[in-house]
Amino acid sequence: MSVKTTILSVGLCSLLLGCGEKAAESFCKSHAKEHDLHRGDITQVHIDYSEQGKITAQVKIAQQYTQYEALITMVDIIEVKADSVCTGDTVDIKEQGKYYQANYSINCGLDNKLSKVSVPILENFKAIDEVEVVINTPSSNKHFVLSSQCDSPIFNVN
Amino acid sequence: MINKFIRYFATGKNHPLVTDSNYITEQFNYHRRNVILLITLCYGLGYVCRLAFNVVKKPLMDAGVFTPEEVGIIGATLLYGYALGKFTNGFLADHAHVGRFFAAGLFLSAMANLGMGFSDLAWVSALLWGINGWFQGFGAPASVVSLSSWYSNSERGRYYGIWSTAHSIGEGLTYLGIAWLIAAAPKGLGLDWQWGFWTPAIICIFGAFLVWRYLPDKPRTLGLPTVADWKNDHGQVDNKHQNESIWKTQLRVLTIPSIWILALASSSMYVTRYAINSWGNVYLQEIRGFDLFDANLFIFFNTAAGILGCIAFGLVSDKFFSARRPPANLIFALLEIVPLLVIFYGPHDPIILGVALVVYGFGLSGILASLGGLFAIDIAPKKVAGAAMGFIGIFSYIGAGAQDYISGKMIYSSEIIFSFPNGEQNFNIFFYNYDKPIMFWVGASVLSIVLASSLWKVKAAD
Repeated sequence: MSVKTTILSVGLCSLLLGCGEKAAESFCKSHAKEHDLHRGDITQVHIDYSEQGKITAQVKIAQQYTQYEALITMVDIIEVKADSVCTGDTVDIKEQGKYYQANYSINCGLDNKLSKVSVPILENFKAIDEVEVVINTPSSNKHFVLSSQCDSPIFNVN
Repeated sequence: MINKFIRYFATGKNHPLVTDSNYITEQFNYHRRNVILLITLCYGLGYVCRLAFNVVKKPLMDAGVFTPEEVGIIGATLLYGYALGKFTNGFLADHAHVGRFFAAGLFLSAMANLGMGFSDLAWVSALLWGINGWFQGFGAPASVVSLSSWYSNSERGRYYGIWSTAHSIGEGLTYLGIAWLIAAAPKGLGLDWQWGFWTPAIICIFGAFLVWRYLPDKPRTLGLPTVADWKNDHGQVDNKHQNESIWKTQLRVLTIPSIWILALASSSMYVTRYAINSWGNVYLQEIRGFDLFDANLFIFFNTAAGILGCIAFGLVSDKFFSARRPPANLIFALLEIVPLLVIFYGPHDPIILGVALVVYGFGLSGILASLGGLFAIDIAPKKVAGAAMGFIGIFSYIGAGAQDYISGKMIYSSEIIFSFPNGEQNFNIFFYNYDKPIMFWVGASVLSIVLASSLWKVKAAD
């Protein structure tokens, strides 16, 4: 068999294999495109971390998933670990139609490096199955959806 | 047993010359066509096994398999292994049956990639990737030995140019092909990161088969005359220095201050080169928000523009500056540094980013062709140009390897984890700050050009 024949044979086989049956798209693979259809029903979390070291979290959650009181304790929603202690925690909860809009604020200050920010919303509110999250930090922003049905976050959400 | 093993990889004994000139021409035509096709294609395929890790860095970090610091260490081991491989395998390739030697390198590199797909232990991956660096160093010397065995002096430049396109074939296959496999749908197949290693392994095994089966040993071992005899294209013999010790002249290279400065300049430029090649796509995904496919596409633009940069540097320095490299170095350095600033500090527009990466790739390749090649050959005594380049090459890859580790460490030190626990499920989203690494990458380029410019008045040696 010549060089040309070998290369052509392998190339053809690869093409045939590559054009084989397409795997069924699971919920997790297709949801990025379809999320917009039910965005209004989904719990929204918006976290801003400013250059001055202030962290604000805004949570919009349907009243069917929680009681007002359950949103009062900040560590049930957001907990920050940093090199030094963060201060000035504030919680502000409002009712907006069928939703609660809860605002949390913590000041970690300049030059206080954050190591971990825990947001145990899925763990503490078992009725919630899906959360849409936006996180803005001084270096970058991320927008994704977390679903109990998927092992990893869903990015590139419409 | 060991003798048998060595004999298998050693070049064959010279056979008595065939006298039938038609047969000789027929054999040369057949093998020469195969050699250029095989070394270009298979060196390109081999590249995929070298670059795969760059594509899967982000998925590995996102999945929490490795931290950026560990990723940096693993990336660095390949570059150290490659530096060593380039040095040692150059000596070995001169004594080897290049087809078998090249095939062994590709096959072993494939095995290392296969192993990487199964490893989630940082030290195992670092070991495998370091060994892979050494195996990757089999390809270039084997290809160069083939080129010098089958193409004569006056035509070797052309064929060397064709072979050089292998870099782009490999980078294209990796930054587009492998990225396509791993990127999420609809732009890619969304396969697990492991396939980013297993697919290159399959590709390299195929490449290994091709060179093992078809890449010929030297012409004299097949009973053919040397290519210089066949083409009647002999180089000049330097009778005056024929009896001088090459070893002594090689050692003298190490006493030339310009060579040390050039080595440091090249090493600094390699910091930027490998920073963009190995962290560029991670930066574009993390900070600029591109998906894996688009980020790798941008990196491909920069590497593709590099082909033109290499060719343009030689032309510009020869035609416009009478073969003086320093003025051309300065021009190409500015073509590298200005777009670098645009990439990191300019407007966040994909078109501007794409153009900046193309100009950056063009400028970088030009200046690298000079610092790591042309300028080095100018300064060094010609008969030990290889030693000078080897010395600069080792410095360059030590710089590149150190960069990978330092960048990874700096990126990791800025890590913030946003954790969303959900029973046994735990979603971790990682945030990194690239301000310090960017200053390191840009600063290295600035240092490089300051060092290179300090050689403004250095003249070429005989």
